[in-house]
Amino acid sequence: MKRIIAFLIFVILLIGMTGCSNPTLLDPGNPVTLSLWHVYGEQADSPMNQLIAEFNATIGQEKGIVVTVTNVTNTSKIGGQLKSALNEEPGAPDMPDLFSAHTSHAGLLGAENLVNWKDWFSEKELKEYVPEFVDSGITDAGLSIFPVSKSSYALFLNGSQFDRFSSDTGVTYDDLATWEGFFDAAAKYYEWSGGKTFCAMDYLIRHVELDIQSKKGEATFAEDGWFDTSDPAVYDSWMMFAEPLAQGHIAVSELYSNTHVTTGEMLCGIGSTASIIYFGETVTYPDNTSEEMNLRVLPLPMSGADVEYIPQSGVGLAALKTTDQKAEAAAEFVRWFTEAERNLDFVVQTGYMPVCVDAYKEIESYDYPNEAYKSLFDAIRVMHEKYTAISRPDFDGFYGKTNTLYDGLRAMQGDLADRCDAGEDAGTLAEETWEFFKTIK
Amino acid sequence: MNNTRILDLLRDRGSGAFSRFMNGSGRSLKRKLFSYMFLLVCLLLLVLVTGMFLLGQFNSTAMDTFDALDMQMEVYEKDIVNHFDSIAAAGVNLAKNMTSFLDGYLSDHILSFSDLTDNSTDLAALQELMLEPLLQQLGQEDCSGVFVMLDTTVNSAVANADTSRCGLYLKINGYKSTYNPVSMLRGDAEIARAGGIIPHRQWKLEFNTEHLPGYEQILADVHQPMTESYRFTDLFTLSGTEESVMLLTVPMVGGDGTFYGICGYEISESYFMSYYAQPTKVNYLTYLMTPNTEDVIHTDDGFSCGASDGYYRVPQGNLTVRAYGNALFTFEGDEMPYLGVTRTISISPNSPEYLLSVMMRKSDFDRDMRTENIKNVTLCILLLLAAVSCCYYFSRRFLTPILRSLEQLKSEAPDGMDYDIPEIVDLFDFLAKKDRDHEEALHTLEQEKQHALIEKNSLLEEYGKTQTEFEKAQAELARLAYSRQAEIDPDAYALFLDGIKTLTQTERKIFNYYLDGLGIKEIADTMSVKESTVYSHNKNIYGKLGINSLKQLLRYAALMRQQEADDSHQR
Repeated sequence: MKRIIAFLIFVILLIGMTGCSNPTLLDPGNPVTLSLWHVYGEQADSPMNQLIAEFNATIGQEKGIVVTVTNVTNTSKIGGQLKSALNEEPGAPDMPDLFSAHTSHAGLLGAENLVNWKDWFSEKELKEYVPEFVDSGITDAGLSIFPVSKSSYALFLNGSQFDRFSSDTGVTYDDLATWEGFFDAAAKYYEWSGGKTFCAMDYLIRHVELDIQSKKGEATFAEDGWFDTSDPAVYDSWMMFAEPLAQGHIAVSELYSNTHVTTGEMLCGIGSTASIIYFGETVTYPDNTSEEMNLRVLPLPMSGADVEYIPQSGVGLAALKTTDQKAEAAAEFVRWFTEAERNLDFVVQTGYMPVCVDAYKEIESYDYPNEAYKSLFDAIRVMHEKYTAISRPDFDGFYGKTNTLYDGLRAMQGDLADRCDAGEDAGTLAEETWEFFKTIK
Repeated sequence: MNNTRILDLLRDRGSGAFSRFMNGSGRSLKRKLFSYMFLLVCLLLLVLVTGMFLLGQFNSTAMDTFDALDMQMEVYEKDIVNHFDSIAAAGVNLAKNMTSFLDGYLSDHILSFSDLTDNSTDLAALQELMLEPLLQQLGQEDCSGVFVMLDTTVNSAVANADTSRCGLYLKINGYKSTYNPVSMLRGDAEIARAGGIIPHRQWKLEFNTEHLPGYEQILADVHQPMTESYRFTDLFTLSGTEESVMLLTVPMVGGDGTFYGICGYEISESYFMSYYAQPTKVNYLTYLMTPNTEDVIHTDDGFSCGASDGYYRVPQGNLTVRAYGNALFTFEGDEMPYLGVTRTISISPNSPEYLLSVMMRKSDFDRDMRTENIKNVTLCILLLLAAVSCCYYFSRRFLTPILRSLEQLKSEAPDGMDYDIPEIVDLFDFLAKKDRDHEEALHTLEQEKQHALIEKNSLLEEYGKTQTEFEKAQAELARLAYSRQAEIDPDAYALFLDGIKTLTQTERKIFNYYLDGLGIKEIADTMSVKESTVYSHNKNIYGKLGINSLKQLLRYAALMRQQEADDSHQR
């Protein structure tokens, strides 16, 4: 009898301990729904949506989590939309449980209103992610933005046309490894093509900023949140890009650089790694003739300094602090979403950089959908190994100032190139852009 | 043994068993009453359950599900029919506007339509002029894209120029998106950029008619009125993308009958998904619009959408449709099974019918059914338990006082006990009265018995006297007979005895009357005849018996009886 009683007590204790070891707030019979806003959509069929569907059908169903996309937007708009939703402005949608966000958005919404992911991820788990990507999401309230994908910039080339250009001029891809070689090739292309621009650049000012960073160690900014134009390093770096711009060798892209390449207007473009999904397989020229694009992607040209920098862009995921159950569900989704293999699958489809350390080990052996993607991730791997990623300045109004700069340069660049062709001095024309640069407030 | 016989036997046995169960000897009153009450309750329950079954109470989940899905279908169908009708009307107007726009441009520039071929300048100018109106159409109409495809090309010298057609194709991208940039899928990229429009990632300068399903049929119908020649294409994947779209195509024909091309609107699968998302309380509800194929739904060939504020899983592959009952159907494929309702619709006279399906997860329905079944079984069990309890309680409640009374009745001193059942009181009164009547009757009988005994003794005494007198009379009679016997002539007596046998029936009757002591008059009254008649018979009797007087007759007769009595004594 004593043995039976002892056995029963043992069983009861065992059951009790089992319950204590699995204190989940999730209930598969009564799933918790997480609304999500993300920025992985626009023209492309969103791999994010496909992954969410997979999550809901598998681990979500098993654990009782339903993730539903209630808004697909873009990085430049999501901050304002989140703020409107948080303030419950008329017409604004409900605040999502989970959303794509920059670190600056955390400040906008109040970091204390966001889930601190460190409460749901152990230190050991966080060590599986690229440290600088994790660091970029830390705010005063903890890890507010969890890295899920990061983007940088890369050089995208029309391989078919470059082969002809290379064959005629001897310029090779290796010549594009530095800015010096890049501008030299741009000049040769201008001449070879009869006055066509070599490259469209989406974010010219960031290259200036990174060049200053490489050569000086740190870019200097004035109190108004714009570059310190009294700093000679700023002037030098600006002029390095301004002269080719004035000569028509490079240009600020009208919208996105990929459109200039896809339409055969320019040979290459520098833009976000994520823009690869916007490159078609063919180049179609204005006379309706077309050829295979043979897209080739190269790392950003180097400045030649001791330390090379690449921009680090891309949003992470933040969760609104509501209930522990929703926080746990969000953590489960993020954990599943950023598993090394899945993270690599996702970034390969979207052109982002993986955030898992282990994912980089698989980049070389990954089975890419085509040569263009293999080329992109070769470039990403090289940049990951040889460059240091830094985030963009997030001063209030900095975005607006850069847009003012780009709009001004777009308006000027055609005329400058024409005047240069007419014999005006390129340096003098570049000075005009510097004068304009200094007017940005 | 034939079947009828077997059935009769079974019926006999059944009724016998039932009868034994209900009336079995030795079954207590309690059990009998309980059995009858239980049988009654079971019958009532059976009627109740049958009624509930007939009213569909046991199938309410299926009926409720059908009602809910059918209502969703009603709204969904109405939305689609109205939307496609509206798009068709807008398409016809667009075709009219674009046609007159082209007529005007050609007239202003003194060009024929054929002059546009290889004419990049005018084609670019036309596109530039068309861009704004098309952008307006894109903003006004409920669609994901708008296009104008001209039946000409910018370069007739390139390969496949015969299928390459110039024009503009603008589309909105996005799914549940608040950021819906317009992109240019086809057209002059320079014009797009100038207008602030992003060339689509699968941008091409011109259309390829090979990628447009049913283009031959569109060309065949171009000279019919626009209101009859418009059509919706099958769902097809846009070249180079993974997105499926359906196009409304309306031909544009100039005033001189020249075919200018086609124009229309696009409905993409992501737009359909967003536009048709329906408000519903049913979890994971899925709506399909697929070609009306028999028994099998090809989900890849159709649109789908879900709840406006919920999640649904886009069905993949083929779904086999089977009738489930209650006008519901099951949809089974490689993934999760569904249950729902279907309807067929026609979206244009020139397009095939489409099948609309509104489906919920079958696992959700099965769960609801299980819940309903558990409820029904629980209800039945509770009703049965309640019935048994009530039968047990009320039969006890009813019988206990009766049995107690019966027990009291058995006891030796029932008097003085109170009975609260009038029937029992009446019964006891009745029994007491019966007892009293019985005692009175017994007493009377005892008295009568005493009287009877006294009377019996007196009668016995009288009988003894009578017997003594009788014996004396017998002895006297014997003595007289003996004395008379000597006075009677033996021959005459013998003649008398023989003569008796010759008497007629009437004579014999009269003879016997004489022996009984009746006189002439009494005999005549008895026989209802005249005395003369009796006399007449007497004459005959006397003659036959050899006598001549009634006295002689009585004497011989007495002797004869004496002898007969002696003979009987001797026997």
